[in-house]
Amino acid sequence: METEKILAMAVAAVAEEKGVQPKHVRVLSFKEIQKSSLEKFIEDNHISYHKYQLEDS
Amino acid sequence: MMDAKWQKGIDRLIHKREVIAAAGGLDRIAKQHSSGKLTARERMDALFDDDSFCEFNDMITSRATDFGMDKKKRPGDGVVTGYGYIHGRLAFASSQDFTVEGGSLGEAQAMKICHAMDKALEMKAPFISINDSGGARIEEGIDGLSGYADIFYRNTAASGVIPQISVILGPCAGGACYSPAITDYIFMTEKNSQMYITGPAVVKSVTGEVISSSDLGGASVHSSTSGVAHFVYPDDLSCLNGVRRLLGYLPQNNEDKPMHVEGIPRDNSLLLGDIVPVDSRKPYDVRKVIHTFVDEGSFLEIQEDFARNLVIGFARLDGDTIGIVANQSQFMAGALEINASDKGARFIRFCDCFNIPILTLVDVPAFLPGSQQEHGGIIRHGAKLLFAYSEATVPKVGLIMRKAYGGAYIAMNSKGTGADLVYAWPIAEIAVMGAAGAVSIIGRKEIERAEDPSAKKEELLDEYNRKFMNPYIAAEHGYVDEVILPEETRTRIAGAFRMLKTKERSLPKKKHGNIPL
Repeated sequence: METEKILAMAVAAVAEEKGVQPKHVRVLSFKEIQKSSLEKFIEDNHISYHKYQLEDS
Repeated sequence: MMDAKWQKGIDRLIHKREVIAAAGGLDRIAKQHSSGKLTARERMDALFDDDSFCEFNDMITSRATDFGMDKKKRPGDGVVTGYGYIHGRLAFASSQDFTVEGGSLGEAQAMKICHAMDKALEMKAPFISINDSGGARIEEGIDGLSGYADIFYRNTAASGVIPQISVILGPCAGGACYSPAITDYIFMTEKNSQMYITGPAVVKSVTGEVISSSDLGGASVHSSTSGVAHFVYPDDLSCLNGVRRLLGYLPQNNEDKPMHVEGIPRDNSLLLGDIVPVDSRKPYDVRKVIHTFVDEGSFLEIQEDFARNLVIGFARLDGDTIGIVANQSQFMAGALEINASDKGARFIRFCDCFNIPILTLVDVPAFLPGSQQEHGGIIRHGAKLLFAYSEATVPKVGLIMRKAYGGAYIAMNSKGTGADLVYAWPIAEIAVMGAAGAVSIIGRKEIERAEDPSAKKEELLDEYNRKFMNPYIAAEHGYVDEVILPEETRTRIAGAFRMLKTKERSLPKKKHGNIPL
């Protein structure tokens, strides 16, 4: 997806959450987060993997 | 506009971080991956909750200069250490980096590991050690070697205070083996893990024996023969998920309680009559008994291929962790021997250290007879089981399912050794020994003198069976608290643990007991 589209979606989401018009949301910085080495390894090797996760109830 | 000095400083740090992330270089990382292994940092990502791992001392380097070490040193010194969260709870870990100097342990690496261990102990949080190392870094001489002592010392100090788990995901040789050995649980992978005090080359040179590294100290050997390993998984990812699963049953420390995990309660006690044959000589899988009443899918067996005559593991009952010790009649008729005694005793002591109630399922004919057992020290090893049960102050509930004979009955959480509640099914046989053995001793003369010895023997067997091979005398004398129907099993066991939640029992003040090791 293009960076502009991703930014527009992020701005729309923040505007909705804050209850303001999107034009009033100002983007100060934008950083693309790379996939981690582990995520790449899992993807490259077509590994079926789900992290075992519990919640203390 | 950012100040140029700021920018220069940031650029320098980013470069340093790139060097650190590159570890031993792309070639070595590719080699690690091609052998099915993850890198040290990937393992941390798999171990901890997503994006929760924070690293310590990532720039530390060795001070050694001899034998070209000044040119070989890399930031991090072959180990990644830090903290993160597992199921949202704090934990600390170290992960040796085989791509840097083969993960060898030098002074700086040991210092890093010890720093993380110290923090784990101060924060009273579990410590996980991921091992993938060629051993002590020879170039650093005694400074590297003594690093092991610093680690062993901390392992020992932390024992019984915080859960300590060792994960062997590569070689672990020589003195390095003793840190995992001191910790509570050892995980290995099927193909890439090896543990041995002396490797195949030294074995060959000293004894002439030719043996492969996997036959000497692979996962299969340690999970079935030596009993060193508690869990074996196919690969790094499944293994680290296994560590996460185990930690889900454990408290953070010895003053904490295990997490409560809402599961699906199950009560299939009605099936017990079909699972357990009345004939006490017929075997059945005791794990099927366990599965009838613990929360669905919650039983985690430990050391499943070692001393298979005794099943141990964690499960949840109404969301709370319990430890289970059960005789397995499918192997050696469930008799206790040296390995089962060691396996059971260590597990009971772990549960007692960490406030985990113990359920004991009894179907035991005896301590295994024979010179092999006697000469191997069954007296010393069997005593560990008695010691562990007697010493444990956590809630202890027992269910005598079928046989409970002689000294083995006493050793399996009998009332005399401090059991809180003991239940028995109506088919239970609680006696000094089985009918045939007893009659051959106490009725020998009578049988010999009889006109029809076989009829006399049958008569005495009937009398013994009628009088002793039931749970009622034990109940009348207070050794059994209640004889219960199979369908009452879950209700009674869960109720007992609920009642015992606030149990307080203490032992006489002492430095520590002297368990017969």
